[in-house]
Amino acid sequence: MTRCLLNIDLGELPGEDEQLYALAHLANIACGGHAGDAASMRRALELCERHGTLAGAHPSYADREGFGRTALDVAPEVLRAQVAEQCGQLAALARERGVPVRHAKPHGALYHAANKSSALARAVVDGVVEALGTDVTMVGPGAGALRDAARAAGLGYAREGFADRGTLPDGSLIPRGQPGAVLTDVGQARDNTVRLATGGTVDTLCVHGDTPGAVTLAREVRAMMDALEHPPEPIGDSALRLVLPEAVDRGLAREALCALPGVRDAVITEAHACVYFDPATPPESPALVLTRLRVAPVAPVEHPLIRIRVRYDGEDLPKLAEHSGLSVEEVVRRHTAREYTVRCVGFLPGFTYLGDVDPSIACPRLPVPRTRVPALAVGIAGERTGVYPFASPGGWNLVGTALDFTAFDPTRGAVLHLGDRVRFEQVHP
Amino acid sequence: MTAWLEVVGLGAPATVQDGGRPGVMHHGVPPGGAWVPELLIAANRAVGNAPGAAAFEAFGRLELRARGRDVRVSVDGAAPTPLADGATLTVPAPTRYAVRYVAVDGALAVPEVLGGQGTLWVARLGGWEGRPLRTGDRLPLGPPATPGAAPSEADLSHLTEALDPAAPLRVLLGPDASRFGDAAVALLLGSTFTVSPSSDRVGQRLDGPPVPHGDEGAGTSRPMVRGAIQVTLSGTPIVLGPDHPTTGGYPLIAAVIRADWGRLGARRPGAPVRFQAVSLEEARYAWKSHPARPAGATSDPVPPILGA
Repeated sequence: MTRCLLNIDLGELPGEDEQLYALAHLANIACGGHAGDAASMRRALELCERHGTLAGAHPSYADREGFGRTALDVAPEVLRAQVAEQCGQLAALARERGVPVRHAKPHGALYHAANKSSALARAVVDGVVEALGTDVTMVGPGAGALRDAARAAGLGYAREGFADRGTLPDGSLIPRGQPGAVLTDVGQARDNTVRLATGGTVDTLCVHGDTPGAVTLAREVRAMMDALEHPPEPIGDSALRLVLPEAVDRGLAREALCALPGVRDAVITEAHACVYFDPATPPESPALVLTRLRVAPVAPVEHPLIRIRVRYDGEDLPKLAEHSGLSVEEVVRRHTAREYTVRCVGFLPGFTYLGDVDPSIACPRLPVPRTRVPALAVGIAGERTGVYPFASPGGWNLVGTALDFTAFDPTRGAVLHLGDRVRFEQVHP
Repeated sequence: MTAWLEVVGLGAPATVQDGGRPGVMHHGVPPGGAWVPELLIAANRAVGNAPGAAAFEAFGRLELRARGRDVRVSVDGAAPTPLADGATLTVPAPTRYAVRYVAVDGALAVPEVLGGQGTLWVARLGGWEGRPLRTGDRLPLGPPATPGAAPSEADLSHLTEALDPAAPLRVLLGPDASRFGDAAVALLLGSTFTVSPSSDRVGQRLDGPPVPHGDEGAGTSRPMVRGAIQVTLSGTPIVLGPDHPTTGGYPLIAAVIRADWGRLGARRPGAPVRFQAVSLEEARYAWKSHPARPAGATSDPVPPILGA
C-alpha cells in the first residue's frame, strides 16, 4: 500500500490549535485569497518547521468576505495572476525561514470550479508554477481538469479524499449545507479513513481545520492512518505483533493494549508490542490503540527512580575496558553516570533491558554464551544493560554484581516496570 | 495437612503442572501450562476437577501413595482408579505419547504463585518447591471433588484425533518468513524432522536438514509466543514450549497453531514431525471445536482482524 498522507487546511482562522500542525503530514496554508496574512503565514510556517509538517500553498479566489466559498467570474489570466501572487507571498516568507513549499491545493469554490474547466485549471497550475516552480505536487480531486492540467505541466498530483465529509451512494460528496455534508462523528470519520486510505483511489486525506471538533477528528484520522501503515503481524493464531510507535510511553502502551476486550496479556519489546488472546476472540484494531497514544495530548508519566548498588567485579570488565579503549575506572564511571529507562521486561522473569548505555562502553554480546551466569550479575550487551534475576545461561558481558537487590518477587512479579528510571551506584569492596 | 499424595517412586522427571499463568508475560514470566493441554484437561475431567487444575506431568513411571483419605486417580482421562488411604498406585511410563497426566480428585493443593500452580523450573517457582519432584515428596490435596462425567468414547476419540502422532503440525508462516527466503520455507514445509531428545519445556528442538537463513537475528529482543518456530544459527528449528523466554532475538519462520500445541508436545523423542501451512481462518476453525479449548468459551462469530 502506498502511504496515504493527512492534509489539513491551516492558517485560516485566529486561535487555531497548534496540535493540528503536529497531526497533519501536509499543511495547506491560506495565503491571502480567502484568509491569511503575513502574520498568520509566518506563524503557520514556524509551526510546520517545529512539527516537521510539509508546508504548502492554499490559494483561492480573492474573496475574504465569502471565505472563498462562492464561485466568482474571473478571467483565467486574472486568476493566474491572483494565484501566482498569493503563492508567491507564502513562498517569499517561507524562503526567509528556509522552509520549502512543495505542494499547492486550491481552496473552496476554486477547487471545484478549476476541476470543471480546463482553462481555469491551467490558470491555477500556471499561477502555482510561476510562484513555486515545477517541483511541486498539486492536491485535488481524483479525476478532472485539475489533474489533467497538473500532469500536462509536469507536476506531481495527489488525489484527495475527505475524511470529514459525507458521501452520496455514488461516492460523490454531499454538497455543503445539506444534512450529513460535514461529519463531526469520530466513528464515521474513522470508517471513512479506512475505506479511503485502503481503497487505492486517493493519495491524501483531508480534515478541515474549521470543522467543529477538528482536533479530535484529526487525531482519530491520523491515528487510523498510522495504524493502517503498519498492519499487525500474526505470530501463529494467538498473538499479533505490532509496531510500537516511537515516543509512546511504554507502560501506557501496555496498559492500553491490556484494556482491549479479548486481550489476555501484552508484552512490549524494543520496537514492538505484542498482544495475546484466544484465537477464537482476537481483539479489534490493537494497532489503533497504540497510534492513538502517539497522537494523544502529551501527559508526562511520572516513573519512579530506582537506585541499584553495584560492586564492579564482573569478569568481563577488563576485556570490556580494552574493547572500549578506556580504563576500568572510566568504564565504571560511564556506566554509573547515566540514568537508564526500562525499555523491555522479558527473556527471564524480572529481567529488564535498560538503555541506552553510553555508546563508548557498548559492547556486543559474547560470541558463545556462558552456560551459567550467577544471579544478580550486571551485564552489558550492545547499548543495553541489565541485572540477571536468577542464575541462568547468558551472553551479556558481566561488569559487576548488584547488592541488596531483588529483580523478581514471586508474589508481585518483576520489581522494575516499563518506563522506570534506574541508576547504578558503585560500592567499593 | 489432612490428605496428601506421596511420591513413592519416579522413573523420569515429573512436575506439577496446570492450566498456566495467564497475563504475566509482561513480568518476563512464561505462560506455562501443560505440555499436552488436552491430556491434562481429560484427566481432570475424569475425576471431577476444573479442567486446568494442578496435576502430575510425568515423563516416566510414577508411583504414588494416598494418605489421609481415599482418592480417585485418572491417567490421561481414562476411567478413574480408586486408591484407598495408604494404598500405592504405579502409573507406568508413557508409551503412546511423550508424557502423561495424573489427576487426583480434589487436585494437588500446591500454593498459587502469580496466578498459577505449575512448576516454572527456569525461575525455581510454582509447583512443589519450584522444582521437579523427588521420591518422598508429599503433595497436599484439595477437598474431595464430586465425581464428574468421565470423558465419553466420542471425547476420547476426539482427543486421539487431536494428538494423532502421524498428522502434520499446522503452522501459520511468518512473521519473519521473508528473512529466510523461499528455499528455507520450502525446506521447512517439505522435510520430515524428528523430535530431538534434548527438548524440554522451554522448547522442542527438531533434528533434520538444517534450515538456512542469512540472518543472525535482530540482536534486540522481540516478542515470543508458544508454538513460534525459531531457527538457530546452526539451522536447528526450535518450537517454543510453555516455559519459553517471553522475548528473543531469533527471527520466526512460522508458528504452530494453537490447536496443535498438544499434538507436538505429545510426540516422543525421535518421532517424526512434518509441517503444513494453513491460513488464519483454518487455524481458528481448528481451534473452535478443539478439545483443549476452555470450556464455556463463547462461540461468537469471529470478527476479522482489521488492518489495524
